[in-house]
Amino acid sequence: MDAEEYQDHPVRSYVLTSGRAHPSRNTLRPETLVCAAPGHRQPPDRQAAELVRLCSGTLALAEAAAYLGRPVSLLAVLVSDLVDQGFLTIRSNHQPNVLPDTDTLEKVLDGLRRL
Amino acid sequence: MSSTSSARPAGGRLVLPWLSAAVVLVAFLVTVAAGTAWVTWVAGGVAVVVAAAAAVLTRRRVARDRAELERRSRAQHQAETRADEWSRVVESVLQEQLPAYLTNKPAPSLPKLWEGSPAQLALDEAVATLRLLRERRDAAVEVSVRALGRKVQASAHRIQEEAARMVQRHPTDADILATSMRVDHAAAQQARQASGLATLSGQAPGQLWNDPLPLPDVVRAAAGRITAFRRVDVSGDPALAVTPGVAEPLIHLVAELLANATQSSPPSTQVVVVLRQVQRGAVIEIDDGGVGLDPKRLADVREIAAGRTVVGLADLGEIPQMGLAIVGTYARKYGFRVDLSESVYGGLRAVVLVPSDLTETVLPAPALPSPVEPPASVPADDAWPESLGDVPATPAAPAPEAPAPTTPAGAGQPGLPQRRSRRATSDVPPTTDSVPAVARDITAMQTAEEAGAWMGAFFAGDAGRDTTERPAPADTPTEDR
Repeated sequence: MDAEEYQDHPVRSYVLTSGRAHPSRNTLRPETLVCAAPGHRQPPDRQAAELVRLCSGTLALAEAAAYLGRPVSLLAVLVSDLVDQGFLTIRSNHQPNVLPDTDTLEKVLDGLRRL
Repeated sequence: MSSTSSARPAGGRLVLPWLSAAVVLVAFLVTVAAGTAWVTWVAGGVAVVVAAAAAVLTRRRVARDRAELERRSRAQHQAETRADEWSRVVESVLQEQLPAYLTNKPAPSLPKLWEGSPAQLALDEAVATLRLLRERRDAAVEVSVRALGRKVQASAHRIQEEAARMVQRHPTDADILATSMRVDHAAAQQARQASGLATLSGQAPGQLWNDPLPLPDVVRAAAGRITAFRRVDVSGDPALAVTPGVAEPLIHLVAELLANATQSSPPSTQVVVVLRQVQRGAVIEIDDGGVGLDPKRLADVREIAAGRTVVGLADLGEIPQMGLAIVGTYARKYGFRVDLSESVYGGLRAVVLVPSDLTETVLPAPALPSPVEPPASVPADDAWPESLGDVPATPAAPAPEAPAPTTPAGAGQPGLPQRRSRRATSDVPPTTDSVPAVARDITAMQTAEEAGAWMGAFFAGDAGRDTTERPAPADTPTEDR
């Protein structure tokens, strides 16, 4: 995120959120991954639809913010609204099964040592 | 009698009678003294002749004097008439022209003086000079107001920029976002007012957008520039955008209409904006729930809003009502058609027609035609709640459930560069530097869709963890160990 780069938008941020600056859920971090909910529904609102389209893969909050040229904290509000409405899902950050088990890790370590 | 008319001939004119009387007197004295009768006769005869001559001469002079008298009284009469005319003109100049000049109203025409009088010429010249001075003064005022408006607008945009940078520097702080929103909102309104001044003094809008702007965004952009932006309810999306060149004027125009609508209706009511496509372009309808205007006033403001009545800076008066004047200016300049009428809601309805040559179709139009505000937006009255932290929320406090999670794959490993080089040959996507996913990397040319796609692919692969690719190379080392 380049702090020196400023992108002006005709539609101001407070209009997008009706003046709310605090997200409805507090689990969103810049690195939180979000993706569009299955079902390919689109929110009626144009900006929201664009955001959902952007997240049709899996995208970190900060990335989405950079693509839209909007601040991360604003994206947190928008994304949590869309998650509440079921258009987006948060990719859980610490699913137990994401961490490989010890066995695998050891194998990887060995492989690395042999490099 | 003759002596009244003139002084000069009086002496000469009276000589003859006196002469004849003197002759008679002399004859009488001679007769008494000498006693000769013939002297008396001669003197009498001379006296009669002289008297007759005197009578004839006097008569002629009297006639001349009469004519002279008549001429002079005519001249006097004319002088009096002219003096009247003069006083009328002076009165008109003092009581009508000068006040009109000072208050910038159209001056009534001057009463005419008599034909060809040098005073009339001087007067015409003076009026022309006055008019020229007034035009020059108006132009000078416009130029300085325009420059001032631009300056204020630029500084307002600078404030907006600073507010945006502040948020960018604190990407996780919702309180800072809230403050920035307030600052941004206040500055946006200031920019609108300043831009309005510049517009009324004949300047094109100071902002320019590069892309076509979809109609709903025009309205939402406009809503961002008024105080009660929450009360604006937009519906309809005809999949039309306005061309970049007219985006800013249209935003400003709609903002002024929205400002009027929100100001003239109760704070608890919504201002309903409906967008639709028509044969000749796009239509923006703005309805307020106020009380409307009486027919006479409505007729006046219609003319102003449609741009038929030109309202300049000089006509604004002491309590400036710039809104509709700005609307009219833009309508004239860019070819929007604006009409005001009574609304079915009781207040006013403003209809803006954007001609089709100023619109273009937008391709990715959202499917649903009836946008309902998603987060049940409270139509709270104006502006902002008093306190910042009225939402429970978790401002900067790092969310407990989300520690440092997303970097499971490779964050801790020091040997990352090596792995990456190997990745290049393998077909597993190069996850290492983008899983931390700080947007620093976005400068790469990939689109959001690409980025999202492989990120999704990565997680999909990771979920079915045991499978082919990774364990395969890892298998051999196990045997070694």
